[in-house]
Amino acid sequence: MSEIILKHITKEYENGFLAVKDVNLEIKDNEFVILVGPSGCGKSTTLRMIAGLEDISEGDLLIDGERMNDVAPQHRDIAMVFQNYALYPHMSVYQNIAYSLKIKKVPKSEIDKRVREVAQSLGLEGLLDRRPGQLSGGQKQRVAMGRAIIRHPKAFLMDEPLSNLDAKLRGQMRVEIADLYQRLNTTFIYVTHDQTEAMTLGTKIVVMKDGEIQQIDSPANLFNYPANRFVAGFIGTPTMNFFDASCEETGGQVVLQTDTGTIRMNDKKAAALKEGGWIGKKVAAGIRPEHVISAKDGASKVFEGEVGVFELLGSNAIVYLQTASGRMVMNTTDLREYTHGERVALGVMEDKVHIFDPETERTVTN
Amino acid sequence: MNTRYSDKNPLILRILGTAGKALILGVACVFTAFPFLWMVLSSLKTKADILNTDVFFPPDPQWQNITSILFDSPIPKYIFNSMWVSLAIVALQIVSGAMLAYALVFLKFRTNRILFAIVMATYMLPVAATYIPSYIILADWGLLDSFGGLIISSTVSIFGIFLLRQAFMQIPKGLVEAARMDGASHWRALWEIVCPMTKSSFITFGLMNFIGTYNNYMWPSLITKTSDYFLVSQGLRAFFVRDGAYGTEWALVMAASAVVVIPLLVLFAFTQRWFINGIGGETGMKG
Amino acid sequence: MTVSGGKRRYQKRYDRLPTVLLFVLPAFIPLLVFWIYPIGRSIFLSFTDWDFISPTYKIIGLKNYLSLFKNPRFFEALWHTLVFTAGTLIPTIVLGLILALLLVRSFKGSGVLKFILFSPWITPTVAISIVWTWIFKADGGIANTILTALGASPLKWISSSDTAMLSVIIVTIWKSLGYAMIFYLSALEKVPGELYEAGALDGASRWRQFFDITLPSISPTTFFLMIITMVNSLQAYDQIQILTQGGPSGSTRTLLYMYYQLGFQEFNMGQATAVAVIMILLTVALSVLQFKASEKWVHY
Repeated sequence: MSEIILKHITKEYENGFLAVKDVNLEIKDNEFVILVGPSGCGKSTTLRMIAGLEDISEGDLLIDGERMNDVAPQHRDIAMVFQNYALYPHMSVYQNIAYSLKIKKVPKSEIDKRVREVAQSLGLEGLLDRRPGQLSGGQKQRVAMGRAIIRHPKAFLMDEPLSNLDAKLRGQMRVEIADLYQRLNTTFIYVTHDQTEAMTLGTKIVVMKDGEIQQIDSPANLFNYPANRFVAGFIGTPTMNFFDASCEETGGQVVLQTDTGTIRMNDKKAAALKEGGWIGKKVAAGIRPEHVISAKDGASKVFEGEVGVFELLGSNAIVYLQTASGRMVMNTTDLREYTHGERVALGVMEDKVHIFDPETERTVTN
Repeated sequence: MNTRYSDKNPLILRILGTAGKALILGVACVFTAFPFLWMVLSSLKTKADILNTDVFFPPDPQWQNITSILFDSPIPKYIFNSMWVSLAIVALQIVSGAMLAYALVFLKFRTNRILFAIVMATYMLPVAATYIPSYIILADWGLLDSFGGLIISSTVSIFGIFLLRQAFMQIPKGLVEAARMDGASHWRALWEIVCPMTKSSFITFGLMNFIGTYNNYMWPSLITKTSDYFLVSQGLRAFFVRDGAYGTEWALVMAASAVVVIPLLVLFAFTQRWFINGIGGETGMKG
Repeated sequence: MTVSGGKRRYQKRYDRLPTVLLFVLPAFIPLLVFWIYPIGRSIFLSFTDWDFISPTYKIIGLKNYLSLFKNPRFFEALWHTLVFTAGTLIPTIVLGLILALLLVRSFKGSGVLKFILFSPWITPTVAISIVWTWIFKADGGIANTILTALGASPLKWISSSDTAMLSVIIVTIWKSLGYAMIFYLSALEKVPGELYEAGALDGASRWRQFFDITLPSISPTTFFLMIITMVNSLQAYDQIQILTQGGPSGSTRTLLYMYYQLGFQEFNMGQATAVAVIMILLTVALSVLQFKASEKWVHY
């Protein structure tokens, strides 16, 4: 029912700072869109422009086909959950949730019915008479969501809604938000700097950096087919290992040559490298820690590393190593004890290597 | 009694300290309260007793001095004038001041800083410097000697703008934004979200300016000449100097002063904490 | 991108400029008409010979200022203004601080004391100046009765040019003392409490604490009070008008009172506004001076 389209949206502050540069984004009904990126990347500004809390310097914002650039926030029919909840401290939980309906002059009985419905669905029934000051962080978070839900808005905007909660509660609320999305069938636009939230909640993720969109894709595609080195490094924990290599062709086989070994390229990667004219040139390569394996497991040795820190996490373990190609992290399910200073021969899953243009940092092949 | 500090701070010194403290506070309070006391005592004396300084307490309280002021003099009318004119002025000052303070804190516009600088600069300048041109403006508009002129020339309080701006700056911007997302206009956000959260500053603003306007003398006395429009200070002075003679009716003059002052003291007794917290605590003073 | 029909209500524009104007103008128009314009107008009038009654006037340049500078009455008034300002400012601040120090730790009855000490500030200056006129009455006034009882010789108070200024200053201090005290009370409450731990410090180090810690930490309040008291003193009118009307023989005529007499009694608008401009300059000069000095002793 609601479709939000951003066309060439740009935000320039009075001091000339370009917070958002030429953002194009189509958000379809019922999508859960995540704007993710490091702080200062323009994700919050973009969200606030959709909300109407910031002016749009250039470009068009369309909601259901109507240009909304100059429409005041209160006339956009969009709800927003703020980072620090922004509950009205002088109103009870009930009044907080009911406020938007009161403004719309919804009849009292109708308001009461809807407040109680929302309170029940969020487990707030017992707290309706309390003031925000008497609530815990998680409860405040629920009230903030209740305040948004009750309006049946065209879209929910959420600006880092979980960042004020402790880790355990954050995990719990993440599940509740996912659950809410399933029940409400509305468009969600969610800003976070936390890629775990992004990957677990979103149906469509927009990765931003320095005011520009880096990639728009599904969580799986973002992980498997990053559009550039920034996205590759930003998505996934521990982060992807990057190393320099030279691309060579020997006897019809395209390989990446590192200081200590070679990685054979499959047909798809070889074709992309040839097409791009990369043979004989330096490239930037990346491999995720879970795709780094011990060379003993039948893989050919690519790196030789010295174990620094070893973290056993239960079902898997993270090994930090120093190699000739730089620091390397391995995420392994082989749970033997690695000892500090131990030398290990490392291989990689050759199909999983990502190759980037060292100049533009764009992906050559995934 | 042998606490660790007793040798450093012997009992005798502590008693002397307490006595000194009591003495200073006692003198200060007598000095402060005495004029009020003397006013009340004098207002109850006969014409003969009041000139005899050996008579401290009125031997035979002349309550009719008070009743003649209450029922037989223009003083109650002046009090009424002051009351409603001050209420009207303060109401206008609160609305205009709150709106400007809201604009300064929550609206984004280019001249925001310049506007605040202008407001601050006028805060320190002597008001009296504006009186002659303001007088001419009111004369041109035909508003001299009228309640309209009194009110219209005082619809803005720079102190109040400053006080509210300080208070509004303590409110997280997100709250106003949340109200906007909830569908509230700026007007509603100001009165339903911002105002209740800064209630104490509004009360302080209202009380201080009410008292100030109620007591105001110089400006009202310049622009009103007819006793129908006198505010209380001017009316009291007119009562004091009537018939061209100072001090022939001291007891009645004191009774009139008492009738003017005592309601204010009662008001103050009930609202003391708003003055004390508001003045000291919320004017944005650091330290 | 079809624009559907029934959604016109969302078309309502938000037009930032009208919103801003709506919020700014209710205060800004009066500010402009009764503050900013009059100050500019006063400056302009100070260069004219306008007498209020005639419809025309000439621009006469600095003549108003020059004749003021030739007029001993003006320098007298300037001197009285400075004496009055210093004479009210210093005692108000010192005594206000002493009272606040004695009252900062609350005890039984301290609320009542605060009430009494602050009450002059809320009462009309005119009413209370009338009471003081009565107290200061040279013969038969209670002030002299008390002086005589204490063994001192009676004074003529407001009826002598020697003591009139002193009388006006006493009334002004009486009125503003509580105000300074309240400011100091809230400033002192914010000084870390351990400094006031009863009996924990001996006499000597208590003084040291006061000068080394308390005074510096309340210095912003002192600075604020100096500015406010100064601005108020420069503009004092009510008590002078009731107690002395600037007399006897001009001994309590301040710049503001001179402005009033020139403008509203003699209708010499040119000279009156020239005095007003000088008052503005004096306020600005004294403020700048205090701000400059404050960098040395105010610790934020």
